[in-house]
Amino acid sequence: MYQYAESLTRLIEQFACLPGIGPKTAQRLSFYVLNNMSEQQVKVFAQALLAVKKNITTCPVCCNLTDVTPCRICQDEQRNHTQICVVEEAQDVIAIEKTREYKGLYHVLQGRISPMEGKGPEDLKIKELLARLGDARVKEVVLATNPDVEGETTALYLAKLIKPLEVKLTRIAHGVPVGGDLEYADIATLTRALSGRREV
Amino acid sequence: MYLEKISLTNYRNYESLEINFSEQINLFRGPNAQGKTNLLEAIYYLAIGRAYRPIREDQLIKWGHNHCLLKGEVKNKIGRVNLEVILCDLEQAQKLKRAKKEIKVNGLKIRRMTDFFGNLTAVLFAPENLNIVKGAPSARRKLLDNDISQVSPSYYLQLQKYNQILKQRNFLLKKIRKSGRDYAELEIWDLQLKKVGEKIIQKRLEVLEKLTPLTRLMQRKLTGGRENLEFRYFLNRETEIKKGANLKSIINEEFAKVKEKELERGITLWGPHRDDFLLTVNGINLKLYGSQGQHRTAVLAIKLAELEFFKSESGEYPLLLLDDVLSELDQERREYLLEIILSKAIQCFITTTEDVSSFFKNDDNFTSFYVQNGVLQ
Repeated sequence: MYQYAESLTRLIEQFACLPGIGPKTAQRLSFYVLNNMSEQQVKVFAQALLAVKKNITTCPVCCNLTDVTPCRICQDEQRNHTQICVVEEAQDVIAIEKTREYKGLYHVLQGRISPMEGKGPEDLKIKELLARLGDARVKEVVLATNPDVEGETTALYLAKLIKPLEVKLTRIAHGVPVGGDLEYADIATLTRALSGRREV
Repeated sequence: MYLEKISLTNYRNYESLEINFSEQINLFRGPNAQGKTNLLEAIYYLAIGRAYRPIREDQLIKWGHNHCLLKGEVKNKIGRVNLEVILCDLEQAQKLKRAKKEIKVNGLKIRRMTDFFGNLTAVLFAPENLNIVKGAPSARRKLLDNDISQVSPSYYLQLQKYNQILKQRNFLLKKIRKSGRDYAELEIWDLQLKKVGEKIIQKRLEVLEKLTPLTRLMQRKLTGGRENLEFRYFLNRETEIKKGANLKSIINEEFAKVKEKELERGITLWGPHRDDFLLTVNGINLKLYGSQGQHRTAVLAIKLAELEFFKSESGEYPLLLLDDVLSELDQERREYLLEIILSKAIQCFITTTEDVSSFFKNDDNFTSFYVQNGVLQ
């Protein structure tokens, strides 16, 4: 049986290793590389792949992804070093950064407590967080883990550890998305928003 | 509320069916194995959004087809609502790149079941409901959970949350048993389990308290005032919760009791997923000492109480689905049941193998369908 030339087969195999890409898409992408990309473009692409592996590390302070040590947020003296916002993943940092409202620091746990996924507190960057709280500058910890069962458990676990320390501890509020109509909010969210209502 | 119309495509033994229903009594008559129960099952599906028997849902699709469609037109106090359920088998779902199950309300796809509940509510009385009295605790929990979920979306959400916590906690307990060392996060899972568990128990007690006088009233009427029915709720099948008890402290106590055994066995041994309630008649345990007839009467009383419960929670009567039970009742009880249905204008769906038109008076408003091999006449 005739097969593709070896280099092409290799490339298809490599694409197929990526999540969300099946054999057909891998084939399509490979042919695109072969037929539609210039050698220069391919070089830039390959270098980008290598660079991400070579340059990106974990910040030793906040455990976020970074290309400098410590990361740009931790280094930035303009930011409010009295606040630390604790999130599950690096993507959450970007989400909160987009608000441009929060000026404090972050701490990325790199996961959440979930026995089913084999993750316990020892697998998260909790030791690193507690070490940071030794710094007298830190006045508040904001727990911004997800509002599901696992995120809630992680927040409760952290709260138990942090409470005895002399630091203000807060949890982000949950509720109706702003700018959306109430009628489009699902019942789970609305129920939560109602039980967390406050006086005006 | 009323189900005005149903249409089925490739559902069970129905290839294509469209019927307009009467707002009063709808009789499905015909020999065994012709599709009468399938019709009730389809109607009940539109109320609870899933099959009520524990089956794989793609088994509802007619043999040899790759998808099925259930549609219902409901008239309730708010207005008219169109409900639609589409089920695909795995292959078809992959081909069309869609979910195996899709539910639409007024043409809009819903994301969460809580947005579906309440449009159509129904009480089903089938022969296997005798399990409520005779069967395992799970049958009684299912009765409560199904009923409460239909009227209280937040209860359904708490149940889902509880099940997730339970799954995670069981995983952790197994890990602890295997490794033999302590895990600090167990304490947090305990906290979560107790917190959500308490909310569920609280709501169940609340609903049982509402159901008790309703059921007692029905039971007295069905038995000429001779029998006095009562529910008693038990934590972990053994510790009774009496009215006004301090639930929180009982829960803490019960929880501490099983803790050691849990670690030994690697599984959660306390929680609303292990609770039960007991039915007593004149103070006597119905499950152990009741006769077959008493069991049947008690279940009927509970079902009639459920009708009133739905009415008091949502302001209108649900549909009543009677699967093969009418001919099982004696004349007195049958007449009482029909009187309730007719006097309260409850829309009712009845399956039967016999000709039961003699049960009705001439001026009773009932519509009869003859079901044969997936076709209605």
